[in-house]
Amino acid sequence: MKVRLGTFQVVALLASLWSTGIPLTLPVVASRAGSGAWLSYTAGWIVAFVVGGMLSALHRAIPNQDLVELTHSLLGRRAGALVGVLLALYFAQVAAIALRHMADQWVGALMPETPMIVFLGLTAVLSGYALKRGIEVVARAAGVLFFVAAMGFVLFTTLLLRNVSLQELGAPVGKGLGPAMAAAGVPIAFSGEVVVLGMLLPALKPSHQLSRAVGLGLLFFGLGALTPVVLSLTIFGPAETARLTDPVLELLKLIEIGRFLEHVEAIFLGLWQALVLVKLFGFHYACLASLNSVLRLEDSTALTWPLTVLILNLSLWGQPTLSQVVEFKREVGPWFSAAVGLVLPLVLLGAARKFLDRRSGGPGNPVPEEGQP
Amino acid sequence: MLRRWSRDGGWQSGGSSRRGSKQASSGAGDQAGGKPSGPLASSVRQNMETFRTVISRATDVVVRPFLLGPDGRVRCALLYIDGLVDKSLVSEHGLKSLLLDLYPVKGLHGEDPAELYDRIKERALTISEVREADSWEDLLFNVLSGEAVILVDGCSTALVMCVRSFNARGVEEPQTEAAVRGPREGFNEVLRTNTALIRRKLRTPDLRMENLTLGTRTKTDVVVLYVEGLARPELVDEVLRRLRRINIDGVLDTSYLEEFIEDAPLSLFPTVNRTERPDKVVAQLLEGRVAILVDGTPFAITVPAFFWEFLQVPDDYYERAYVATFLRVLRVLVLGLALTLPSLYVAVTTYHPEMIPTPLALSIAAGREAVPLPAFLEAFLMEVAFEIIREAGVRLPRVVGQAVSIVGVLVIGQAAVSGGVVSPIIIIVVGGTAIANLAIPNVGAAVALRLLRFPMIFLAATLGLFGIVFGLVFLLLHLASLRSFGVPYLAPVAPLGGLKDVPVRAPWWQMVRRPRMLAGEERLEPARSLRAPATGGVEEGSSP
Repeated sequence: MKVRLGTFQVVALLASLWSTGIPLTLPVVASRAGSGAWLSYTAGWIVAFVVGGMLSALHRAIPNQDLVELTHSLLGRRAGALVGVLLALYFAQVAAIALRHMADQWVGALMPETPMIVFLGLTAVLSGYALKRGIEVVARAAGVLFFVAAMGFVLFTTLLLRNVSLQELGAPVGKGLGPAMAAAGVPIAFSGEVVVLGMLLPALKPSHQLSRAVGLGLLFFGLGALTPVVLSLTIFGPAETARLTDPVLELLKLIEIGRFLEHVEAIFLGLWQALVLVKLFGFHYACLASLNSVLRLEDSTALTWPLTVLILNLSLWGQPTLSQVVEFKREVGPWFSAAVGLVLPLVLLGAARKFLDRRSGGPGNPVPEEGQP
Repeated sequence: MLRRWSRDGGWQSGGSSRRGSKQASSGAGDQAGGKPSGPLASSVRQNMETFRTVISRATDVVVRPFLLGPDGRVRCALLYIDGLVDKSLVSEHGLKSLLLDLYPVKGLHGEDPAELYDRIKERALTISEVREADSWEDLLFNVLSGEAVILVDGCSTALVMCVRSFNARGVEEPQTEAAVRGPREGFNEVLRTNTALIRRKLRTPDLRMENLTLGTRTKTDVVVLYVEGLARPELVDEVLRRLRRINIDGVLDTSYLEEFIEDAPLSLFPTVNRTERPDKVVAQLLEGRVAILVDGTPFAITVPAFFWEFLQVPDDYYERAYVATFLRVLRVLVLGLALTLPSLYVAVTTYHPEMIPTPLALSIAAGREAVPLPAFLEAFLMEVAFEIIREAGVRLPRVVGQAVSIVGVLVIGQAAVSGGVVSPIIIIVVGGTAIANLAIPNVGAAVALRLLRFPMIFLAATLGLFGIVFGLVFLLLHLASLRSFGVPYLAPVAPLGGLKDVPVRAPWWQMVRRPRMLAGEERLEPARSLRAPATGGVEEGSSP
């Protein structure tokens, strides 16, 4: 039976992508762009739309194939295998960072005496279990988790509004447009994560529904990303934001309800984790799908648990400390993300255009029928 | 069916002898393990002997021989089970008709058994439903089901008088699904009464009832109901297929069937709907679902089932949309409380005390000062104690059960707090959880939540709030993986598809489509889409 994902499920997946990107990258971006950090993230948001648009165009041109299969079809078997391995590594890396960030938040903020491996291990098991049940189950769970997290997010924003002070922001463009754009590399790096959609393409209908889902998903993605950025800049100010390790966690600590319920960050952290889990499930699945497209296994779920162990190890040993995670995001992340998120879809789009032109006898002619090239 | 009498004394149909006395004799002798099989013998004496042999040492079996024909030459017999038939019907419309009222009628004097048989069937028996049984399996099934059977000498076919009648409850208010508004009638243990209750509300010729007999020994009647044109044919076929493959000794309740036909029988959550209410069954048939009724139980099941339905009650559809929506949202909240309240108590008091407001924290600390147990053990033991009290109350007679509950909750609870065994806050937590659990309308879902509270308490005790989040996500993944007859269990929320009945309840005139997962997109009910006009037909100020 062919699996089809609904619009809302795609929206949920795309909108959750910022959940680990913002807390980890905001201090770096704020230190470079000052209060103009929001401009850097807006640039990243635009790039996310570009990536999403390219993937939608690819899916309309040659439907029912993921990025690895497309590379295989358009650029040859070796290129397909290379891209498959590269993508699997990228997705595993992002999943490991999401996992690590989640565990760091629990240990750092709430349960310092519990070994981190407990959080890492249990969350990895949860992700593996989800994948074992299939992408449909992951998508359904993602839909519910996103709904819960969205309600928490609205509450989070509302409860923090009273702390907002525009004086903290200073000049709206901070150190100027130049530094803001120079710092945009990091937000663009996590915008490249939108490429995860490329591994879900076979489960999506090649219609206007996809464009709508991608558009809506990226709209929520941008709003979700910019809200904590603006809140942090207007509550802590750019200088303080740059000094913090995890500005979102610090924002959560400020929440209090009627001077009665204080220190409710654990509850909001739980809701936040819902978003992180959606992201983790999505990247875990994408990693599995990439490897499966390379190895062409009959039963891809056989790889689920080995891959879970790999991601767990990456999260534990890949970046031993949180500052190294941030360092990776700052130095390697932009190039890695740009390669898989921007360059790869662009190359494939070009190749697809050329292929379709060749098949239809000239540029601009419609494709006779959908299917395998 | 065309039937004629052959010279060798057997019935013939379509030109070939169906059962002569010789074949019949051999048929009656096909007894394997004490059970006769094959056609009936044409000799009443032989049939009676076989019947007595098969149903031996059964004091409720009645075998009443009598004579008909000229000078009483044709031997007949009446067989039935005492207590399962309406004896007055048998006497008035069976024996009396045969032996007194119609005895002088021409034909009952005839010597031809075939003619006599037809006369009895067509003119003598004044019962509304008369069938025929031509095999031992058929005859035994009918007698044991509560019908009366007449055997005529020289005929290898028996007449079955449908006179089934036994003491049963009347149509009463359902015990487990009380409603404030709406119909008060519930199913009882008689299958035919239950189908009639449905038919009375659903007067469409498209209502289909497929009969099955399940249980190799109980031979229980099972009826599968659906509305043709609304229920997807593949769903009906699948239900029938799953029911037909059931091989079990006895079926005493619909719950026996549930475990055989559910997609995930090992899950704690029921993936079929159980109900005692005919209005609920009719509403679900109108959505395109399939209902299953079993003789001997007031509980019907309908499939497919969605998780969110367990938070809905028939009252929701009889109240105004706003009221129903408020109550549904409240039930979602209640669901969360019933599942997580004790575990939240354990997590917060053990790992995250900073979350508790200071005055409350001081009060809790004071209450727990003399308590020797950690919060986890305290919550766990109190939950177990509550389950024991609840179980004791349910199994005892109602008056005694209430007394046990009062003793358990008030006396023991108060004593436990005074004695410093548990803290006052845990009494509030466990009591609040119990009330929240009772507010969940579906018994199956409520039981599942009760059981899940224990692992949640354990997770909270070991991992704090992270444990609760872990447990909830795991539960969500499990629910997301469930299907009920191929339909995702969490629909219409995940996957998303029509939220006019979950979690809100839109006004009737807005619910213009049947559930997409059940009936497909195109099935509309145009009449419902007509919203009532804002003003009446008479213009203001105009005279009538």
